[in-house]
Amino acid sequence: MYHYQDFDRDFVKDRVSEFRTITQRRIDGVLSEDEYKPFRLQNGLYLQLHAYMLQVAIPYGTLSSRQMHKLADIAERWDKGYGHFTTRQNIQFNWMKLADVGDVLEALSEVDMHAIQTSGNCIRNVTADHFAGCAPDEIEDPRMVAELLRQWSTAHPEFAFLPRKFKIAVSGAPNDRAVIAFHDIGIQIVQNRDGETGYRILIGGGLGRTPLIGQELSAFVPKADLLCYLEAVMHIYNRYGRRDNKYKARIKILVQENGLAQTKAQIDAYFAQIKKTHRPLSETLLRKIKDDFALPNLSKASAFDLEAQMALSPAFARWAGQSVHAHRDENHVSITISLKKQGATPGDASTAQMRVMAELAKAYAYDELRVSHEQNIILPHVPKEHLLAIYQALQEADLAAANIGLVSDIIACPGLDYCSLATARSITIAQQIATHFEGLKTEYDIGPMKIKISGCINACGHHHVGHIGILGLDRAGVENYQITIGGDGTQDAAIGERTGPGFSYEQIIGAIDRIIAHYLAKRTGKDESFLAYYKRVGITPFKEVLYHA
Amino acid sequence: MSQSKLKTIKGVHPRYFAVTANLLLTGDVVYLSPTGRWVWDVTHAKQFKTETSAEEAVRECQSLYANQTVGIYLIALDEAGWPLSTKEQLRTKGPSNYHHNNRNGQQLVANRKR
Repeated sequence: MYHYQDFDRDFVKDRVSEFRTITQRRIDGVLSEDEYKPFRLQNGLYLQLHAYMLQVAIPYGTLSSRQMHKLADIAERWDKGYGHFTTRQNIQFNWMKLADVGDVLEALSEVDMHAIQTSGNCIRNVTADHFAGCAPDEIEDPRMVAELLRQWSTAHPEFAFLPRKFKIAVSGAPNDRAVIAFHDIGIQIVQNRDGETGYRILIGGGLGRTPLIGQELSAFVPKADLLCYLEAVMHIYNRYGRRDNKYKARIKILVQENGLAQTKAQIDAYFAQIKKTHRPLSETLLRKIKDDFALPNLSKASAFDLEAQMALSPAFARWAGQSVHAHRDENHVSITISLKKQGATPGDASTAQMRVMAELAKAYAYDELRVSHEQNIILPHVPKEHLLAIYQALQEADLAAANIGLVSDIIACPGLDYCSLATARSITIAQQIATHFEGLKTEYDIGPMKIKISGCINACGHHHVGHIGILGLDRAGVENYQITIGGDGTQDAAIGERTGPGFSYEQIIGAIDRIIAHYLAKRTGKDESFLAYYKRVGITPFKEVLYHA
Repeated sequence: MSQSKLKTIKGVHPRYFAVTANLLLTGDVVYLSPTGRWVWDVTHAKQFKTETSAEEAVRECQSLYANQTVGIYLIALDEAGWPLSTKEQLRTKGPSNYHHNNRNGQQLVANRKR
């Protein structure tokens, strides 16, 4: 993983000092809230319903055990003993006090972390495939690009006041696990016919009130041109993106209103202009980044018979069946630790749980963890021989839910329980759905299922790309939930289709139950997944069971 | 009473209004009391009978308390002095998924029962 240099540390320390000074001026009454708010937002500090919330950046979701320990320390000392891992691969602390935040940022800086650019109209934390560096289908580790973009975009003066926030995701594999088609820019690492590695660029994807699938801006950008090309994209967006209406200010609207062809022509023209004078990237820098993301020195095989262990323990077999993923090295696997125990808050981890995960990474997994956009934690490189020990430790920490990819592995934004923008609760809906299907004992029978819940139209819970999406709205002071079906955040990107009128807080669990009961009754067999069934029959049968049964 | 400019909430017209904010230093949800102090408990909030009088109080508070509070605004209350909207109920009770709010666990028993 990337290791800070003195430059990075000095920069972060300066920002902590600046935060303390300016925050004290606000506390002293020298600055008004209007003057202070843009500053605190650019440092990741929001004011939510009940308290300040600090969103800490976890670049491309990668953490060391030391960093995870520090997050646990912060949760214990300055929060309420837990943190909330988000769909941005970040962590939120929901109960911050303004006067403490300087100390929290200081503590983060001790482990090379910060909260810069986790809000505001700037380039946000660049996200990447959570199996980066270990997935068998990967062409190249996407975090190298993400890190390059992090360095390029952090405090970039031209991009500090964009028309709106800007999100970039990178995938290094043909199977998209980073939802790149729903970002302002999606980058896919590809190889051309000559075997040269470069980048396929998607533009104008997004969720929110106007969900759009990203379109291909370029099929192949050579490696050497990437920053120059992206600078051209950002320049055109900065110049022509709308600033008159925040709901129409994202780059997706620019592309939609002007068309891909015109936008591409503008970008290509500007790219051609600046390419002549664009300085090539420093070889030293590129080499350092490459070295930082080299695979750890993977251990050699030792005797471990996974199949035999699974045969001995059905519970271990169930967990391994859901949580263990193939690794590019045959002696290793990747593990997803579920933060979705049925009935728990999706994405939350207690101080004790964070420490257990950090210690497991240190003892068994080359000291590395990842946060997935699906709000779980990944141990990316695990020798197979340690699987049972890890499972047993996770069991003791209440972290061994065997539900990855199933109906209770739900993405849910904080919703109306925390968020000042939200219009309905999402966490409690997720909790009820998870416990409902756990009670029915149908999770494994249902099979692969992605339910995603947003508590408002901003879609932080990615509901548009849920196999079943739930959008919580406010109808005259009453929570109301719309359902979409058939969304897909992978390389087969699709936006879910709305079923019809929404359901009340009391009705929504029953509605989800009817959808799934219909699927179980009508599928051709267990091999036909929910998404495959939807693609075969369309939305009509679901409307029937929801509104006419 | 005069008709509120606020929409009917859950089919109920607001009966009273209160002034709310978050404290600058802690983010705590607070309400303006009859004595002009900020209190945690909405049932101890000053109840304005008209929206106009509450709006006037909001303007006054914005001038007086701009450096102690953030985001001063009015909310609608029912007959019993309880917030009408789900959002405002959650602000006063704390989140649904944990039994705590920002007052170090000092959630009022009376509030929790609602």
